[in-house]
Amino acid sequence: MFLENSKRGLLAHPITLCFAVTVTIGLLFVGTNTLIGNEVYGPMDPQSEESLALNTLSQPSGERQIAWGYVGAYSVSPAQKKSRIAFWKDNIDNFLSNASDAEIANLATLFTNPTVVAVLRQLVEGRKSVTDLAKEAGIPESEVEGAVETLMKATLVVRTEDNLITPHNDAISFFLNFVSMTTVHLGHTKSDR
Amino acid sequence: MKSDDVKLIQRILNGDQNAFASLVRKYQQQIHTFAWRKTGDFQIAEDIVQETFLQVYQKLDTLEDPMQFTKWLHQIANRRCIAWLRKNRVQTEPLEETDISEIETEAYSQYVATEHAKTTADAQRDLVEKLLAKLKARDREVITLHYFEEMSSPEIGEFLGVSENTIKSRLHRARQQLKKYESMIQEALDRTTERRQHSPEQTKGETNMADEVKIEARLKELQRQIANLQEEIKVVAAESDVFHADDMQFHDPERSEALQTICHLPVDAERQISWGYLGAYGTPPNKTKSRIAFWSTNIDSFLSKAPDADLVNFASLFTNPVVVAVLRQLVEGKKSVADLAQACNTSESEIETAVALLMDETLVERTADNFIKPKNDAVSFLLNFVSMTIVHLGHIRPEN
Repeated sequence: MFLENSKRGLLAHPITLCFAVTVTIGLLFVGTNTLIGNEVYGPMDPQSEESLALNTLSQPSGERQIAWGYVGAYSVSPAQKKSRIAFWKDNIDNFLSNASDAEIANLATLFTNPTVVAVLRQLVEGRKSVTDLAKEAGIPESEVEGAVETLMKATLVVRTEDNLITPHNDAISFFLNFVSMTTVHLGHTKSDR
Repeated sequence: MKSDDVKLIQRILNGDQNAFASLVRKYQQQIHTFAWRKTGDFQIAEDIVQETFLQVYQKLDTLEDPMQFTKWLHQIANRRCIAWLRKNRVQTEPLEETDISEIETEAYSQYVATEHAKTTADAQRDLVEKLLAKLKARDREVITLHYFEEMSSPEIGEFLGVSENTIKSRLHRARQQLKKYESMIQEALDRTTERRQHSPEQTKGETNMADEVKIEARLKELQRQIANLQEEIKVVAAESDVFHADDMQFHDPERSEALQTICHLPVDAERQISWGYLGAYGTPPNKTKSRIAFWSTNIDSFLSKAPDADLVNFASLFTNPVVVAVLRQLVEGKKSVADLAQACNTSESEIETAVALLMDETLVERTADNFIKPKNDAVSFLLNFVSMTIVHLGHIRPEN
């Protein structure tokens, strides 16, 4: 399933395909440890620094300990390289207690608005005008304005002096996390149903 | 910041003198520190600043990419410093213009002052060189620009053409490395203080006031730099094990290094992404689970995997607080509906509804002995939501 997902993505990009290796990292943990699963996509050598770093991060931390987070980097143009690490090493109860059920549900609710999602998808490229957002997402400007207001209240976008909408705080990271999770989820639901 | 510079440059090219003054004000301190560090002479550094900005003014119309202004500015200053160093290794003054009666005293006091400064500076330089030699080339570069050129992370990022976060991570890594040598720094600092206490006695009446002021200023500057470094080191040492998303502090060398590696992901090529979620957690009895879901691919390919509608559907599942509460309980492993209801402080029927939703989404399963067990990435998704919510709350609370 993951192999299929990976191939589907890679086939769209012949250059990547030439070097692509879909790596399923071997069983790293034995005995009492349970491996949920490791999937690494794309042109990554299993012995590469990146691959090894991922494994280091996912090492167990001990009883009732958690090491968890989202990490990554992306580049949409030579002038726009962004990277983000949000990673915790903590007691699992402490970690979980930092976000209540209601707060989680609130954040999730934001992403149930299709216009919000469409706007964030456009903003991965960087700041844009409402007109451009509307045009590229195929949505009326008034709807885009509504989504922008919602995102501004959530401190996920800001309006610049020249009236451009700029992603703010972890807006893009959250969007990329949703893409990651949805991709994994679609893979599971398609195979399990 | 770059866009501000671009606007200023445009105004200068249009003949706005005030814009040029603004540009000079913005960068003169930075260039002076840079030149001072290079030449070791405060006043020469001032001259170099003037020459640099004169050249900037004369040649600004030849700057092809105004976004690269700071890099260009430092290149000009650097060339000026190198030229000065080549020409002025031994500075001479025409003898006929000097008062003969002053020659002896001046020569001796100059010698003492120079030797004093040289000894102190040599010791400091040795220490700094030793410390810097222990760092990776990239980290050394960033530390030098930060502590000796007094550039901020955004400025260094602009200068080197890399992101501010990359600079922060390099600074963090370098400080972590330097932390190991805290005692060495302390020792050097003590030595410097000792010299400062004794030197005035030794040179009393032998050095002129200008030299004293100059030496004192240089000593203070060197001490301040080391004290800054020390302070930073203490801050890092006091950090807890929790990784702060914004500060990139993670007091665990292996994981810290791993995070930095991932932060420098191979996204040099345009439209590339390396992104994912990962981690491990341990819950009793002796069960540790780990998960990596990570992509390194073309960004369009990555984004196309999750259409808006699917993303919205996925998000909607987590808008149900009972679903979230159930998943939270399942981090511990499988549980009965009765236990879930009790732990979630809700009715069993509510739990059954949430379980049905989760089963439909292949996120839980019912075992033969009627336990509810997490399936696929159910717990990972919950942990991701917790991560994002923590970050989000951190952002909205101070701003609200």
